[in-house]
Amino acid sequence: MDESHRPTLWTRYKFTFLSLLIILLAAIPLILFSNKKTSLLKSAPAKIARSITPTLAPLTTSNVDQILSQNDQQLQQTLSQVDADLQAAAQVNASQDSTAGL
Amino acid sequence: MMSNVVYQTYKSMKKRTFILLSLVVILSLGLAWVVPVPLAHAISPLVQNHQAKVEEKASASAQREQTLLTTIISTANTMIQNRIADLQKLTTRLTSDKRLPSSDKDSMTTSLTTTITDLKNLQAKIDADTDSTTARDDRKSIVTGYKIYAIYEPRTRLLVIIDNLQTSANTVGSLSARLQTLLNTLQSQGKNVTSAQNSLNDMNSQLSKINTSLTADKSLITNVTISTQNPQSVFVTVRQNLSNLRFDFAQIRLDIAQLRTQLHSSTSPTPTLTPSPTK
Repeated sequence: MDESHRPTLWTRYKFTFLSLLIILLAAIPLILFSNKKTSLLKSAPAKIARSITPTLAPLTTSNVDQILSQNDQQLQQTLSQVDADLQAAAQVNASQDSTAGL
Repeated sequence: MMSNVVYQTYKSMKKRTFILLSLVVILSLGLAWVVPVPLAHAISPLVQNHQAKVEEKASASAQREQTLLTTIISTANTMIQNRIADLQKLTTRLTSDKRLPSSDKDSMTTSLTTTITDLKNLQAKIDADTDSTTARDDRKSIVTGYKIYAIYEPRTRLLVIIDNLQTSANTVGSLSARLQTLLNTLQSQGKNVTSAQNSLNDMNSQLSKINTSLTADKSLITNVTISTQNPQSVFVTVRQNLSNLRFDFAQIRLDIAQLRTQLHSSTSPTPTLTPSPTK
């Protein structure tokens, strides 16, 4: 075979190279877009978290009675639950973890 | 050839000796032919009996081993099921809690889920055990490896109580700061807030005591591990401390009640004497 007519690498794989180039060019905006979307998703919970952070209304002479009453009720509920929990904790029978007879 | 040997032997000894010798040989040959069969017949049942006894003993031993293994697996399964049921009750208690900080709630729930999974895996291992020694060791590890009743459950329950009380203490702390701002405002307006300030000071004093105690109790509880000797003494101490804290919280409630009255009177217009009804 004549050496001068031998096909070069470019002529042999021209279409393959061109296809890869087109795919690469098409992928760039896709990658950029998906990264932007991810960053948007990441920032969303932070915004939500900020928006749900409770802000306590300042006490005034008009709301103080109501707020004190609410706090007192919450305390009462907590203490009732604590009573029940203390009883449950005291009733745990530690002897069930004895290894005697095992 | 043979007859020649016999003849030579006959010639060399007396006739009587030869006859006697011949009888001995014939008798020996006869015995050798006849005796082995009855002997074998006599010995065979004995050998078979012995073999049967050995096999019977082996079978009985295997049966005993199997029964023992089944018993161990059965009791182990009951032990594990009881523990899982109690841990699930504790999980329900945790998930229904509205006051616990979500981070504490999540870590405790994760710990409970992991423990339940580990117990289920141990149950699967025990169910697959094929000898009583391994099964017995695995059954023992239900207690020694987890100490659900001696440590895990009381420890978790006490931590839940402490976390709940700390949340309440934080809420009261926040309320106290806001009350102080209000009292300062009222005082700047020329209102008499002395008694309200005293109540608030008492509230802060109780709160400080509560926070100190809760921090110490939490430290005591979190230091209890599976290897702690006599964890019960720690649990009893903490339970007693928490029970005492209820009185401090009750005092705070009393302070709140007094503050409501005091703030109501200090912000109301100057009361006018209502005339007593005349008959």
